[in-house]
Amino acid sequence: MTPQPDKLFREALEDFNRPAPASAWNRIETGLDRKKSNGLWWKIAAGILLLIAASFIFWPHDTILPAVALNHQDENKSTENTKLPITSSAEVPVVSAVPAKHVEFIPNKKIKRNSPVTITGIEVEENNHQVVSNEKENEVSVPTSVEPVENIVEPDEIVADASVSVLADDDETDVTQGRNMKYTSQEVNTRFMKKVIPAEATHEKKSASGVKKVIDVAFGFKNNDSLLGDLRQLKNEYLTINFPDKKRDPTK
Amino acid sequence: MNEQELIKGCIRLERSAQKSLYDTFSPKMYALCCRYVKDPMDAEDVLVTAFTKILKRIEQYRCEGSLEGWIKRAVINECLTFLRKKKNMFMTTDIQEADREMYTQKNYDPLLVKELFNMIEELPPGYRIVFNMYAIDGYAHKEIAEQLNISENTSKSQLSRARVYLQKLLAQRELSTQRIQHDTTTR
Repeated sequence: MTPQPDKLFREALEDFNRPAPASAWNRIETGLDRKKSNGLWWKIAAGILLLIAASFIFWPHDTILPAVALNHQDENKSTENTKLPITSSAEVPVVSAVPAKHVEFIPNKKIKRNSPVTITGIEVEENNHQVVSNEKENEVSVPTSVEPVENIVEPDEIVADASVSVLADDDETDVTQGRNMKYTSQEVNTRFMKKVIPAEATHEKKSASGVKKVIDVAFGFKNNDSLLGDLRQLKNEYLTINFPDKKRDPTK
Repeated sequence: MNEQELIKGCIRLERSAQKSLYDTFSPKMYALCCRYVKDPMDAEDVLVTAFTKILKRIEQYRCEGSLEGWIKRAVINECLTFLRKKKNMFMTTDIQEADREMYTQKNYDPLLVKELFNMIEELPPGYRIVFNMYAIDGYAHKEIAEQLNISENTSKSQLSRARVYLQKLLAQRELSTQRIQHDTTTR
């Protein structure tokens, strides 16, 4: 294969020059200037992005308030608990099942029989349903157990599930070994009562379960299984002593 | 301004040095672009792109070989990039040896360089690129194959076909030249 064409064209065209168009240099100059500014803008954009990312990472997020957490905790607990808020004038026999770990309430033996005992709320053990009745005042005090008790729980620990038991207003109970904490009804409601926000017309539902509870309590009353059984007995004894002629139904 | 001063000035981004570099090498590089790309407007685009990159990356020149050689390779690379984008590098994959229809060596009359340049432009794209790279710009078949992503055999076959094509053109040119001379003598 003859190399001549190669040599011929190489010698002729190797140093062949052709003047470039005048616009070429203007375009090159523009490109050189644009390259500089482009770099600067990219740096600025990168800086802004970094700033945004850093603020997103380090910006304080909203924290869940303890009350809200408390409420959530309450809601997550056993659904068997039905608690009614304590009102100042309501007679609220409320029973709520409480895990054994929470509380064990032992009636204070030193309660004076002559003094009206007003108790509100319920403090419940798994096996013992103890009863409450009126609350005359808003203020409520919560004794911890006096006698040796296996499970003594601080009121705060009761919060999730248990309702609150209350001493009589004018109690003269011996609380030397226990502690009394006084809460207003609102505090008790917020701290110890499960918040249940009923939907419309759910009062019946609520009351259905409440009624059931009441019935259970009533049976308890009748069968002298509850604290009031002792009270009834005391009452009967009193009446028998003072009014021997009348016959009474021991179950009342 | 000698070459070293020119390079230093360009590194310092002195516009006068950059212009001087461009003025020194742009005619040859533009002619080179025309050989590869064929269309003058496309050749201008390639030239602009190539020199913009060259002036930006002038500090990468390590004084290994001549500055002209370094710039030339940069421009050729830019030409090939342009042709790849336009998909204008049709190559036959025929690896058969080109036919040996070669014209015998003759003493050609001195030809105008421009006619030879025009002959190059008449070549099909594949032939033109390989012929330019091998015959004029001194690339080896291995380098050509790597640049164009073809086999060495394809590069060789393309070169052979380019040579045949050019020899035909030369023959036609010679015949036409002889006819012109004959016409002038008979008048």
